[in-house]
Amino acid sequence: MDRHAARLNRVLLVLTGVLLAGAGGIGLALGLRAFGASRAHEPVLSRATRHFAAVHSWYWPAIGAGAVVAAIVGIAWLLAQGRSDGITGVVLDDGDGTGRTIVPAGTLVTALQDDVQRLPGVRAVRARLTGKPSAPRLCLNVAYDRRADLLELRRSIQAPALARLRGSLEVERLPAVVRLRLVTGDERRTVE
Amino acid sequence: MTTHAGRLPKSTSRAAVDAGVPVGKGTRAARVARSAFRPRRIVTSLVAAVALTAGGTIAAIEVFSALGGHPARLVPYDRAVRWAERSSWQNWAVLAICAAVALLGLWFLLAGLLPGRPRVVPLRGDNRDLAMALTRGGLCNTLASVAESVPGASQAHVTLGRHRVRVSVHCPSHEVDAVKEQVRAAVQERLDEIRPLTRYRVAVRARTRQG
Repeated sequence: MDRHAARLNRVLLVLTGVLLAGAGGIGLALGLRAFGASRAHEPVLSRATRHFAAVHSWYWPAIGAGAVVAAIVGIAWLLAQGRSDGITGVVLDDGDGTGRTIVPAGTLVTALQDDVQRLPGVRAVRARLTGKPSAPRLCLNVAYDRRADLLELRRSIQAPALARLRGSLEVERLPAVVRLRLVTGDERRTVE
Repeated sequence: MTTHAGRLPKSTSRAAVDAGVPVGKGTRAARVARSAFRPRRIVTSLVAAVALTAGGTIAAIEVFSALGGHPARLVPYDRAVRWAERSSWQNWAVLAICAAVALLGLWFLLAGLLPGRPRVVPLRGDNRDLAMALTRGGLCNTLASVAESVPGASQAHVTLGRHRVRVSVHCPSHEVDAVKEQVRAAVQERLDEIRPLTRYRVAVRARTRQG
């Protein structure tokens, strides 16, 4: 659905992963005498480290600033998970620069949902427009039951339903991601 | 009026595009479909983000409250310092903590680097603007009903492997071979119609009623 969050997740996961694996790896290397036996015998918090922190006045403020940055990145990362990249309207360009029309996404989405809902075997439809108002993308989730003919359903979504939406948007291309989900229920017994 | 005149040529070209943008053997369309359904690593990201937020906040509060002269002491700082001064890098507890941190980092790193397998079944299309996918259960169910439509076969169970569809059907013992072959052909035919992105091989197992 939201590929923007997916990319952010990957980048941040790699960064935190490198930092943690690096820190843990160096600790393990010290303990396993990769840097010599004398280093392995030293305490984790050595006198030299404490001395360094005491002598340099910038040490603790710098650590604190780093912690604040980490907390801010963490909060932004958390918020990005919940954020949706849905758009509320689509800008129709007349092509000759004379004017622009904004169509609310709700209208377009409802029309598409009604189109798909009418197909045999479809239980529930949820459509969202994402991307940019000038370059919308479609995200469509269709729940169907056992009565639906999968191939027929697929064809009907592709040809009339999406084509109609493209027509009303007056765009030649509308990147769409469609998920077909089978819902099981008692329908089979009562219908057949 | 002018707007209508402006729109006309566009609508004619749109009709041509409606047929679908043909893209060779579907390599580009296949890539789009595959990447649209990749896992987004939400659970791992939530774990990492919560840990980062918690760690950063606690550390910031500790440091700045101590600098201000009124240490907040959210964590038993003095005890931790004393323990860290006493234990060497060789201490097993220190090694265990380092190993845990390294493993956590490795987990995040792999989750970020490996693309992961989609949990749905992406379908192959001719249109690079349309990425479609089917749930695994949906595909199995369709294939099972196809298998059951073969005369003699009943109670089909379909499981989806990485590259293999395993079909298990009940059939009378005297027509095992014929039914197996027919089920395999029927399921294969339906797979060719549905066209999943992964090419599945069909393996059929027959259960006779007594066995």
